[in-house]
Amino acid sequence: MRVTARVEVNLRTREVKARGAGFAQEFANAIAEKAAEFARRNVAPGRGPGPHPHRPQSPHIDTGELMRSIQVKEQPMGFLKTAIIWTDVPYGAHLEYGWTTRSGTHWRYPWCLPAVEEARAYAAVIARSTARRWLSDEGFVQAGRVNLVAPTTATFFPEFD
Amino acid sequence: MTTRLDSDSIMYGYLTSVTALMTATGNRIYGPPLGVPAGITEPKTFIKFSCDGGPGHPDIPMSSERFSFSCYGSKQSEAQSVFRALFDALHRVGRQEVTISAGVTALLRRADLESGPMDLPEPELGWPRVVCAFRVVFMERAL
Repeated sequence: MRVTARVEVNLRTREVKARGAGFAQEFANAIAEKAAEFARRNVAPGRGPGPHPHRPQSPHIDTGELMRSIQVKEQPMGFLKTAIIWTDVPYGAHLEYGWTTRSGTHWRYPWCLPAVEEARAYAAVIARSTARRWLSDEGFVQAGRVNLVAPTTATFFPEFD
Repeated sequence: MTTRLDSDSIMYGYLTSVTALMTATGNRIYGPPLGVPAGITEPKTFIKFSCDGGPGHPDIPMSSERFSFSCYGSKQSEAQSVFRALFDALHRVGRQEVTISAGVTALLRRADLESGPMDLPEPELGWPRVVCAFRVVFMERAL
């Protein structure tokens, strides 16, 4: 005779909803932080395009202002959990979308979108580590393999073989 | 292996087929590789676009690519009107067959506004401009 337990996860359980929301928000935040990290790297002094790169004799210096201004903010929108990467430095948008010089040449140094695309490659890893914190068994009292305070309902019943 | 279609050609072919958009821009839609003609020396209604790239599907010949658009006008409100015409022509459009050259027809499957519109006048020229980006799904090979 062996005793088995069937664990039923009710997605309508309040705790599951709460944890799912927490996971989703933290996941969004983590991806955004990763993207911001890449974005800061893209415009770091010495690595970014530099000030007025289309004017070789430009007297401007690379201050790193854009790099320092890149921030992340979580922005929950009801059931949609989002986080944004943003800057309020005006030339950030010009670099991202480009500009045309008097000679007609179009210059462009996208730094934000490539960073987000690069961060997307880390989505699976971040999802796993985040889910481990929010949705795993760690930190919960267990009976055998069943969480006693997990957001699930567990039914024990004897099984004969 | 079939030839992959050029993303810019598909977009140019589609945009120039929309009468309302051609009217709003005065038949001035410019994309790679030629760009904006040197003859345009003052702000007027026109659209400049370029493809930013994007992922393809591993199993079927479909691509999801992002296109950046700059909508110009002699005034900011005119640039906004050009954006509006572009939005009406492209946003949520589905299943459009686009003739890009004699005997070559592409399939534009879906397009959605991804970012913008943002008023962003040209910093050096001072030309009124609205920038935006669309995500476009299209078939990579000809129909």
